[in-house]
Amino acid sequence: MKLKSMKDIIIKGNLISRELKVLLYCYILANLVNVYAIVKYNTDWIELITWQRFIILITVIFYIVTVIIRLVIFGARKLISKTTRANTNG
Amino acid sequence: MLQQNRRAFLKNSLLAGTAILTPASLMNLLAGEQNNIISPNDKIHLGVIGTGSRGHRLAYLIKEFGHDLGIEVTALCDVYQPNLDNTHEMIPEAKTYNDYRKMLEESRELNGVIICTPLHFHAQPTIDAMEMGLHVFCEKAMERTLEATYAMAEAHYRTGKALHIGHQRLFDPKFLRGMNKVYQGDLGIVTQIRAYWHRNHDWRRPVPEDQPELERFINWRLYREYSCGLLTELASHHIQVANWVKKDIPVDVRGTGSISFWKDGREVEDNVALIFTYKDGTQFVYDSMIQNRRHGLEIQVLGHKGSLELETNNFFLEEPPPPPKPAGIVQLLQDLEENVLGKVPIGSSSWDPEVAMTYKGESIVKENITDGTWEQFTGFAKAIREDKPIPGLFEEGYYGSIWTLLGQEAIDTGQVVGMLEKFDIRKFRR
Repeated sequence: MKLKSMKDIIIKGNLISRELKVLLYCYILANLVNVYAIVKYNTDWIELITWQRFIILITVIFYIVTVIIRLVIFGARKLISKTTRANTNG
Repeated sequence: MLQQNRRAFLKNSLLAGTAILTPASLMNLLAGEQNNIISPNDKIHLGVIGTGSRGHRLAYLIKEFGHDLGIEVTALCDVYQPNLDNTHEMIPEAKTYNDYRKMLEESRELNGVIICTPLHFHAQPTIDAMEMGLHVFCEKAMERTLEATYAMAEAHYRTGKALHIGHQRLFDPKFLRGMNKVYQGDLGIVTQIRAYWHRNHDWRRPVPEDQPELERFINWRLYREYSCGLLTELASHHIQVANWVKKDIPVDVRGTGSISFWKDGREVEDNVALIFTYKDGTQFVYDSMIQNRRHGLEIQVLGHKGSLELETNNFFLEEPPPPPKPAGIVQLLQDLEENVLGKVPIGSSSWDPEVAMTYKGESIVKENITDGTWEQFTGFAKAIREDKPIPGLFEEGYYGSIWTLLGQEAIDTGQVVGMLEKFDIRKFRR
């Protein structure tokens, strides 16, 4: 896709940067959940390392949940905004 | 069958020192210093007397793997020419004889002989060979009668030559390790040993059609003049193992047997059942039959803390260890699934990891690749090189054979039978 201007590059860069941050927060949260589980069930701390593949899977699930939630919020906002404009113009 | 070299055999078997013939003492002897009369660089020359099924097999093993131990077959003897020719074809460099006496007189290079003749003809060549200064490996059981068995023992002690009896389980790593578990107390108090050997076969070997008179010669295992059938040919192995477990011999035996299926003119039973009792009350329960092979063979050593199944290489604890706990994150998700999502109405929890509920025991040895047949020659070669028997080894074979014959006597008489003092060889211990 041909970029229209420099503005497009920056916006794309901001988007990627934001999503990576969300992914990082999800990863941190997944690890915190693992810490909680280790403490609660009194298992070995080595699971922080040995169960990383599973933690990554949970991270992806958390991320997908945030995408869904944000899409719903975005969709709801757009709907509200359209309704408001219609009422104002009407 | 894969063969282990000596180092692998010692590594797979096992260790800690004790007295008499325990697995540890046997292995320490084989691993320890050697006081060789025959240099390790010199070959040991063996003659094989009896080149039928078993003799041919042992000759084959020595031909294929004897270089590891420095042993070779240089003479073969059999009264039955087809058997002799068959083995000679495999070892063409060996001299051949039809009369073992001629072999012993002429083959002066021999250091030992392997005797695989029919059971009733073990004693004479064994005694003659030992009196000529040769060490002897004789297949089990020792002989057809108690008196002949004792005569072999007397000659062994008198001449000081090694007399190894073909009980290969004494050199089988899983049996050696298993015995260590028994002696270390892993099984607790052993109060019962059970063994069975089931086959589905008439046990006949083919007789040339034009020579029907060879029936009793070729199928000697089926006739009481030459063999006790299932007892001497099969049970003797497990009787030896049971004595080895208890480090003792029974006080009596009772039994029964019959020809219930193979009614083809044979004289030996085709199914037998025996109970041997030891002085501490332990029972060794044995049965053998040749009309059903569903259960094969096994010897089970049963103690109040654990069990061994030696033929199938298994060890079981009465209190198995608890299964390992799942990881914390897994337990958390399992709880969430149960408490938040509830049970899925169709099917079970979709991803609930299955925890094994059946205790499958553990293997006695990791690699179960030998039955001790070849490893017996490790001991025999050592005895020849050092010109002395391995302490305790002969007694295992002797009492295994004696109590086999007493079991037959119990079946024949319907009585509870014990061993007469005259057959006790403890008087020969120096």
